[in-house]
Amino acid sequence: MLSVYWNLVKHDLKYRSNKNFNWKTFRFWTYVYCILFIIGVFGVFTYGSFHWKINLTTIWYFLWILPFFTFGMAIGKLKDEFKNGTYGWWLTLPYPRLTLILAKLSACAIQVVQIIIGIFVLITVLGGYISFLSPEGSMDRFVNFVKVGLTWNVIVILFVPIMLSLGLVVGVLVQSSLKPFLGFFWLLWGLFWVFFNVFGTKDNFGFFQSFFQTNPIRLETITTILTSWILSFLILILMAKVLEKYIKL
Amino acid sequence: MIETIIKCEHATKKFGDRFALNDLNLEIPKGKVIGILGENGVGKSTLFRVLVGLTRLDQGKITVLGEQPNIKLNANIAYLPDRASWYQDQTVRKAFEFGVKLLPHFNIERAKQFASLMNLDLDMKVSSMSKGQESRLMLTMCMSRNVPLIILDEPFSGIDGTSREHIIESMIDYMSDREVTILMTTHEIYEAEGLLDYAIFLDKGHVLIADEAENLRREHGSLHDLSRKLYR
Repeated sequence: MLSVYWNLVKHDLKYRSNKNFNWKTFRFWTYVYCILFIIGVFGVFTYGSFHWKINLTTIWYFLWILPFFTFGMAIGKLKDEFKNGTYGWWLTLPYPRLTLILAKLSACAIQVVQIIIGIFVLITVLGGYISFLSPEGSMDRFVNFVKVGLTWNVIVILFVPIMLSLGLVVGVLVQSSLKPFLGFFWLLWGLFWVFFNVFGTKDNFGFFQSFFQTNPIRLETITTILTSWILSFLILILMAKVLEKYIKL
Repeated sequence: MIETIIKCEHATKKFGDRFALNDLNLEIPKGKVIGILGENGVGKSTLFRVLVGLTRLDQGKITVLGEQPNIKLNANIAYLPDRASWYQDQTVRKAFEFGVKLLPHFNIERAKQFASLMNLDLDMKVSSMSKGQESRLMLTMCMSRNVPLIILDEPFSGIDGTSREHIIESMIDYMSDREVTILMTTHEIYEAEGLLDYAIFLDKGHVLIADEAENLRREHGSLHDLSRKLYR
């Protein structure tokens, strides 16, 4: 079963689009926009390092985009099977539904981690560049910047499973006869973020900033991560059942 | 006594107010090529989806190879879904590798032989194939499995008339030395006539006629003529 699982993961790691999608054009424009974005960011920070007082670690706030990106990626991975007309092949593979979706989420997780590492390297280079340019730049400042980034990258990676499984909820429910429950999910999702922002706010800096300024490796963080893993697994089991019994074709 | 491979007892499936299968009672004989025939919306694809466990019955019972449809049973069933596509990033060769790794009882040698009969180049990418070529690849993926039951939902859709004849000849040739039951739907009754040993005509989710194709031909001239009479 392990070899089947791994073969499924390898199969799901491939990026897929439908026949009408112009992959070459998409790739070309993605590269163009990425290069322009990187040039823009470096340009702004080059100017900024001479005229503003830059708190380097704030650059890592960018990482908060990643959990949402991960969530969307999980939805897309499932949606692709239905959009591309391959769901019939996928759902009639003679393996437990849990194996099928676990393989999809594992493939997603591998891709997300690759992206996180890529972003980490890019931001580290940017941080090093600013440290080098800035009059108050020092090696200690740069090392501290990398340490903060490394810690938060690892924490974001540890929350990848829960974001993937929440994406899976949307991806599966939308194709099932339980679709009306999606409204309930979005309501909970909205309430969670309200709670997260309102109750997480500390001092005058806001939740994210206070998080970055304190040591994140605390008992609450570890407990939250472990709870999120257990919750992810329970969601996986539940969605495997939905995929088996309530899928609407 | 005829051995059955599929048995439906009062099988009922509703979508909203519409019956897709309406108290369907049916016994499908083993080792033949069976055509499930009828107009659009008579329940052919729904029946197939129930057989492979993609859809659940509201009432009644179906047994396939002696068991109720379930995921594990699909190891012994090759299923070509209706309106399906194959993975666009793969070549024919990669598709066969996928078959070897993930489709139980997939025979790569047979797949290569069948691909050759289907005029499929092993290095051709699915994204550059025509609809007809993609249909041939999907048919090859199903026909290359050593399983007792092959279910083909509209296997000739998107394939031109000349190629269809060629494919049907290949299938007849393929069937000649194998113990397999093929269950298929097709709107191309005229061309598939020679392939079918047994025909089941459905209407509004239940059986209109089910008999040996030879008996039906003797009585009505051809399955094509019978179909025209039934659905006039």
